[in-house]
Amino acid sequence: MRALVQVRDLAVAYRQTRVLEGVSLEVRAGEILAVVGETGSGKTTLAMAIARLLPPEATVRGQVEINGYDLYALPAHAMRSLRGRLIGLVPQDAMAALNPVLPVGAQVAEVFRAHLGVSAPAAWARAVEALAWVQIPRPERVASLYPHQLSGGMRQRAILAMALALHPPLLIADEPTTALDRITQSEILALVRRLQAETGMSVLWITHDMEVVAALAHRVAVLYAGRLVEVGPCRKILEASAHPYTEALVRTYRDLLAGAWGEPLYAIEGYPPPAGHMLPGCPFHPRCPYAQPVCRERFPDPLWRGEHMVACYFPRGDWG
Amino acid sequence: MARFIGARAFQGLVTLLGLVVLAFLVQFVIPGDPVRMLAPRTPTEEVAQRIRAQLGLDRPWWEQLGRYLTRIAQGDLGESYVRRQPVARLILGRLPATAALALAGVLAEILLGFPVGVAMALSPHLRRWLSGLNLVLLSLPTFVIGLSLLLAMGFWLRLLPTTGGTGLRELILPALTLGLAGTPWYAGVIRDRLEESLGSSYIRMAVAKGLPNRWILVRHCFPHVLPAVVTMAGMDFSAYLSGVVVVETIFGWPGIGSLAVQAMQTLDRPVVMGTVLVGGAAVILLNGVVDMLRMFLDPRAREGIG
Amino acid sequence: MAPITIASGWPIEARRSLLAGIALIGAVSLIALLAPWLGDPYYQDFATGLSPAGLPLGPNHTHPLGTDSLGRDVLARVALAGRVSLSIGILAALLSLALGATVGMMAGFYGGFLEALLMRLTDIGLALPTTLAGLAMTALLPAGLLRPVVIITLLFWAYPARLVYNETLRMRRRGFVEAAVAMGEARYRILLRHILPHLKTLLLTYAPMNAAAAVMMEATLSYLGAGVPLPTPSWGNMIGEGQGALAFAPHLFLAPAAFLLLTTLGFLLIAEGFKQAHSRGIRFSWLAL
Repeated sequence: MRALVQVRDLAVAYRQTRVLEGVSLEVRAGEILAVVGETGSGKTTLAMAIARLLPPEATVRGQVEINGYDLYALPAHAMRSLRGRLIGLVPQDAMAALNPVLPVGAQVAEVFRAHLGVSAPAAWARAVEALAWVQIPRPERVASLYPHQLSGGMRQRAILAMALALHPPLLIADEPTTALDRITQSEILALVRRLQAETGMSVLWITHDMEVVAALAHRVAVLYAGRLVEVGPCRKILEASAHPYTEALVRTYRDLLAGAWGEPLYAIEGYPPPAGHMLPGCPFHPRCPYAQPVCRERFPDPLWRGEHMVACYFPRGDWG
Repeated sequence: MARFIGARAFQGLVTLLGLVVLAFLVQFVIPGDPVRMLAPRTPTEEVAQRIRAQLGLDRPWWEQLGRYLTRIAQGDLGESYVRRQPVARLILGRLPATAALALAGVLAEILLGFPVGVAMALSPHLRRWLSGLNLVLLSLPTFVIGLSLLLAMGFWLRLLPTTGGTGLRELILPALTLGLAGTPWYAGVIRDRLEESLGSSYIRMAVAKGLPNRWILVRHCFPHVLPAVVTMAGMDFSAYLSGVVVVETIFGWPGIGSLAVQAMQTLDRPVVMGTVLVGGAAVILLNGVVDMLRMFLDPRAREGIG
Repeated sequence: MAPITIASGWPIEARRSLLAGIALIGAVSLIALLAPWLGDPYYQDFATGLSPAGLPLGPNHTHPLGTDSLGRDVLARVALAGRVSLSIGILAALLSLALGATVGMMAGFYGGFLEALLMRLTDIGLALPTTLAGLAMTALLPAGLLRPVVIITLLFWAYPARLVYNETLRMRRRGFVEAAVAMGEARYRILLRHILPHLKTLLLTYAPMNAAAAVMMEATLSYLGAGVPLPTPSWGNMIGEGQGALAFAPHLFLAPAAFLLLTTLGFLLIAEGFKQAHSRGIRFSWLAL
């Protein structure tokens, strides 16, 4: 499959704080790639770096190429015309991402007006269509409501309508369902799966929730303390994880699903390093049960086996 | 909504009543006898008594207060001791000039403050210079700004008249004085609101949608700034309506402010009271209007009062 | 000389503002303190202090800031006016802040009837048209140097009262006051030991701003003839005297106006320093992308 997004050796730092280091990744055309990591692992930074939406004080090294465009080499005006057209963004907090003083319909319609130059009434009509497309009931009424008058799920759908208004080939979604209740969450997940199948777009889905991963992703990338430690097909990651961190992550998830009352839940010992603190060597070594002296010295080179990549000196499972 | 307006109106009335009572009582402590100001020559004790009785000044203070309150409830502000005219007519006669100055002053504040605030938020380079300018303007009392303008534009550059009047050319300097005095306040609030908005998630989302910067600024940021500007403009307008004493004095502008000053100097109690009352009412009323307007501009606030 | 160590932990910008403000206030105060050595502010020199046409002299060797229409030395008068204006301004600023802070703290802390009464009073205080009310009070009080102090205090207490009230209320709602009450601490002790320290930043930032406003208010009152009584010079009444001479002797306006500007600017720079030191981190704009 063709790669829509090519990330090469990406590193992001805020002044002295290094948040991402040496991330190379591709998002293929028509796939849903989940990026998993815990809070502070740099997963939001990765998403925003791919969208070229990091705050101005962030320094970015490496390359992000989307559909042949080298994003960080583009002049500002070219980048602007690609936003919304090439990349759709669904940010973390839908309420904060909606302008409180504009009706949601207007916030969808302006995408059509700015990019396609259509008249205001025509843009409004298309905005209502877009809202209907993301399964918002009574879209012509909802369009004239203000964000605070919508439920959490409706807000998230409205954001999706904005992000997908121009049918961009890439959707970047940063934990969009974290704040939602379970039922709304699964509705949104089902909706995204349907929209993805309809349009054939690629989705980069950021999450910390293995359940969401299992429900949604074709492929999974695991981020730990600013480093990419494992990438592979969803089933491989869930059933034959190679990195000790992924293994532990999957185990906690399985325990939660299957664990009976009274049995102790599995938990990874220790804590991740504070955000932006880059350890020499593998960042997981202080918590890793299999760590050897070599793990402390240098971050391991990636090992490949078909579709499956792991950055570990002592991979688990059938790798060993 | 109706309940909210009712509550606000009641609160406003209480404040106004307090203001009137306070102002009324204060006059009893003011040294000086209005009768002496009224009589053409030093009156005999008998004549003075008669005038006092005629004006009701021989009554105890609570009775005078009660009578005054009953009268203003009927819309009667009394008669000027000095000018022998109804106070309401005197004040109404001065109102157009004061309203014109208040309006022009608020307009000048917005026209000067808005671009300065926006420039400060958008350009870190201009920001240094403009905040220095703002600090200097903040350091000057209004009458010094007025006199400086008079000196520079009137005497040095000879662009504008230095003597009083009510024409449009005569309005420029007083309005500009109010405008310059208000600029740092407006610019500061506009800058703060704009910066808050520019760093917010919804602006990032707007950028992510590929909207042009000017569009984002005008359609997404300015609505965030507007309620604050409306609030300030409304508060200033109402404050100026009660008379801009200093500016009216410097530029010889015949408004309520100069009327109040004259009345105070001549111990013309009904006129003093009338200006206090009208000024206070303007402040309270317009603050209520501003609150409504702000609610209209911010959809979130509308719900809370349903 | 030892390096200046004031506010050494502050960001450079904040420190620069603070030091500039202190330097300005220091310079103006120095001139004010030197007043007795700068000449006699009341000596009317009709012989050499006026031009042959009887007009005030511009700045020259014997009179660095010129003379006024009575042949008095402007520098000596501006310096003495500095003593008057500075002491009235600072005293009134401190008194109004203390009064306002007390009212605000009591209202915010005790609540109930006291709160309703005090805050309604504050509302009335805030609704007063400052200049007019100042003029009205002038008529009430015996003339003298203390009169502007009292007037400015009465005009200025309401705003800090409102600020302190809001802050106190926020703290009361945050719950640690309840915690202290539950621990059995006396109410006035909570007020002094828990609430007051939290108001420190607010009060420290507001104090120099209040001083600037008070100095300006004194000047305004004196300019209108309702402040410092003549012949004692204050910057405000000197500007009032100079107003009539704008056309031919602008230095009579410019000299006191400049001193007034430097003083208020100094106070505002100090306030600016406090504000910058306590402002939240860097702001950025997404439009820069």
